[in-house]
Amino acid sequence: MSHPLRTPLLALALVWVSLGAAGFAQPSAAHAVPMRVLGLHVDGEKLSAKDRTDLFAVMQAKLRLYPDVELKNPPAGELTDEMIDLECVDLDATCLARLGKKYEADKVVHVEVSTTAGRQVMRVRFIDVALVTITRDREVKADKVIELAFALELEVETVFGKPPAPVIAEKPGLLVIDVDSPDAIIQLGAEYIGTGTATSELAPGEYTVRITQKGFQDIIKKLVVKGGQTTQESFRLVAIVGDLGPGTPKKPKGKDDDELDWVIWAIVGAVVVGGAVAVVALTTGGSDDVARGPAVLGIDGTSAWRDPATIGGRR
Amino acid sequence: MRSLCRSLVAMLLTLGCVSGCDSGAAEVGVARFALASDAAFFRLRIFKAAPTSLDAKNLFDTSCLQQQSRTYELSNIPLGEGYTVVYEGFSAFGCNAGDAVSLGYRGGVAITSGKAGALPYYHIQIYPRGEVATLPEEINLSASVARAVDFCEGPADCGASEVCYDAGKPEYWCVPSCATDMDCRDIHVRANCDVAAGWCTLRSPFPLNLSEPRAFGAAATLSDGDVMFIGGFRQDGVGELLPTMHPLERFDSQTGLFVAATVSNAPPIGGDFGFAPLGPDRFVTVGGFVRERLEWAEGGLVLTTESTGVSADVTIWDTAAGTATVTTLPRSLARPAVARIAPDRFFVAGGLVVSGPGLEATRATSVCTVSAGAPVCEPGPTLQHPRQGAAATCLDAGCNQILLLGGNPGGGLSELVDLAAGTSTSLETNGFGDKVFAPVLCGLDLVAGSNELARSTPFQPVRLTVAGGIVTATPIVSAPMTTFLAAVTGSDVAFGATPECYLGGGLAGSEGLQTTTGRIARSDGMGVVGGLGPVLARPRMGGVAARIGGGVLAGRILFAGGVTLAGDGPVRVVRGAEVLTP
Repeated sequence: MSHPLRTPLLALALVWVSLGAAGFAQPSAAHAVPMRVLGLHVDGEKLSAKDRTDLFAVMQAKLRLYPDVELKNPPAGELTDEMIDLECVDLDATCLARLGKKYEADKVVHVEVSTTAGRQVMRVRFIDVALVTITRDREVKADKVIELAFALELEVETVFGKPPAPVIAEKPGLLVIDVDSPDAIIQLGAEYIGTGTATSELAPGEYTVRITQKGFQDIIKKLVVKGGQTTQESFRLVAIVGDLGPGTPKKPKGKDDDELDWVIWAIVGAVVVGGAVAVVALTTGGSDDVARGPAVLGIDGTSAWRDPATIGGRR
Repeated sequence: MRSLCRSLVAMLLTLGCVSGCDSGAAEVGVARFALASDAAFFRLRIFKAAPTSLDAKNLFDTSCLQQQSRTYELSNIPLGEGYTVVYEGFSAFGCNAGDAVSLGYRGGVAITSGKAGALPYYHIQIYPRGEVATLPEEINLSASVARAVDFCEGPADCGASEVCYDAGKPEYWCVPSCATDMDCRDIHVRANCDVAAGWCTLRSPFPLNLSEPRAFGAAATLSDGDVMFIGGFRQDGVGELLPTMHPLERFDSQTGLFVAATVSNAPPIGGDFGFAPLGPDRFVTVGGFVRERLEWAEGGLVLTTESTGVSADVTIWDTAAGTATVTTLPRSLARPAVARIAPDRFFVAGGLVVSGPGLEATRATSVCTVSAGAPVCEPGPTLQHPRQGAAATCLDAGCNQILLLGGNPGGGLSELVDLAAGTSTSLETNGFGDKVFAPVLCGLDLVAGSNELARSTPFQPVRLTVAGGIVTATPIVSAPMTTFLAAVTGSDVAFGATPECYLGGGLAGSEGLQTTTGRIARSDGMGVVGGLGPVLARPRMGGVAARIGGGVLAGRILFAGGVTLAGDGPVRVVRGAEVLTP
């Protein structure tokens, strides 16, 4: 059984929520249908055309931060022409709602700037088209137009809520690991990234590097990768005395090694568009003057006929 | 195809030279690697020559990489020829040896400083672990080079010699069509036209697969680990079988490619001959059919041939020396049993001989000695029962006593040949019927066969013991489903002193409709026979098998040749080879 006092409180809460929904409910990710918003050009005979345009641009830019808002293009002509067309006597809730309906918007934002006692007065109105209601009507006074811009953004935020934080892609950093043994296994956390030397392009952050090789002591070290920077770290393995079994490591590589000793220098990604030919190559080191495209190695049997070995065989 | 291409994602691996090598002096090149496997991780290495093991020093190594893309570009590869590419696919657990799921192998790869746009394509054959890899064959070239177009509804929307393919709507293709082989030669010089379909095809991308079909031939592992295919039939019309154009063909375990093997004075050799290895790289073939017609009728496989279609040749093949030395038997002979007595001595028993208008099984035997490279055969003890396609195996180290089993239309399951005494004695049978055809022995385990000639019947594998003039058969109870392997002719391979045999294909079905199967079974020759999970993609009977004995591919079983049939349809040769990775 529920408490007798709680039921009215819950009912009140539901009424509040319903009203909120009927008014300017904040756009959210849960919105299945985007909210169509018509932001009208800024009115204000005392403002220069540039200031009006700038204020309008600020409003539009702010509204674009909401993923669930679909901006409708405002009328290209004069607002008075629209009023005549819609048989409006005044630019009131009814008229603005008609305007919103004409332009297939759910909400309309109207901004008008006037001057009183040498100060700028900006009136911002939010209209619910379906309800033919002005859901918010505020006047803001400021000495400079730039202050009106901040105030306009604040008004939009007041109605639509804080916009989601924009995703700013962090510039990746480069991590270069070099070990004095060509057979050393290099891992980032649990991920294997190379042997002997490894280079990885990583998002900025802290990473745990693990270096192992049979016959040597493991090395574990935390390294910080900073965006747009190269973090390079060299490691020297320390042999475990007495391990001369089958897995005994080779001697660490040195400057005098004359054997061909090729290891991963860089791993960079690219996307092939339209086939396997258009490959974008990125290099971070080493010689880039290589001869391109001398061979394709493939495992698709349907392409086996392209193999040059099949030419000239028996018929 | 176009969507596949568009979905290709490239991960570029730019490999460079670390301190210690002279990158300025070394010429380097690029290879693009297209993946089609589902391994979670992979590692690709390039070796200067064929490695004896994966631990060998390599020239290039991607190390262990998560397989995130379908195309990889490998750069800074030292230029050169004769390289071997080894791909390893691994499970999601990483690149430990125990987590390997597949191996790709290809030798003979050249990395040269070619110009962009000129891209030699090297096919890397993948061998999945615990599965059968079917080597490429019957490639639809028209599909390979089809042009994706926005729309087409008829030839008018495509170019000359092209047809519109709209079965994959809303994707449309202009596909090269053909009426004759010549219409396809612009695509590939060995392309053929499938006239019925109007498509260009490449039957075999030799040397990535066998150059020609080899049914009812033989195969053996050479001392260097290569596999040699000897003889066999190709097809000349429906059911008509002729000797292969090239008597020998070798699978090169170092490159993973097939090569023509040449020997001087090689006689024509067909199929259904007697065969035995005599020593490293030396084999003997006895008789066989050089032309036959094989049909399927209600009563089973029907073999017909002319008297001239049976060979009397006894040939010693020395593949190391590249020679074939021939002696002629007094009488033509097919399907004899051959047992190696010593490196220079072998025994030939029974077989089909020409008799009037047809063929009949014989009781004759021969004991042959290789003298100065040439076989000299003398009559041996006469068998108690005529036999064809019998199994023969030595019962003692000196091979003085030979067990002959089956192939006996008139009864008398087995007999014991005593070479020293010059006698052959019938053995009583305990625990088995009085007939078996196309018997397959693995050691003394009778692992496959049929109770009827030229048909498959339910078959229970048995373990044989011979003592006191009695051959006792003990059922191998652990054998599952081996009745399906009751092959008229199966594929088997035995290794060295310790038998280990693989059987692949054969006839399946015990009543009425019979068909060829792709099932594989393994026998350890010690009383254990079991069907394996993987099956051959190409059902076949009369194929051959041998183990690859060298290099990184060592231990894999190569199945090849054979014929296939479905119901009462025509008998057709099977062209390509398949490789089981146990």
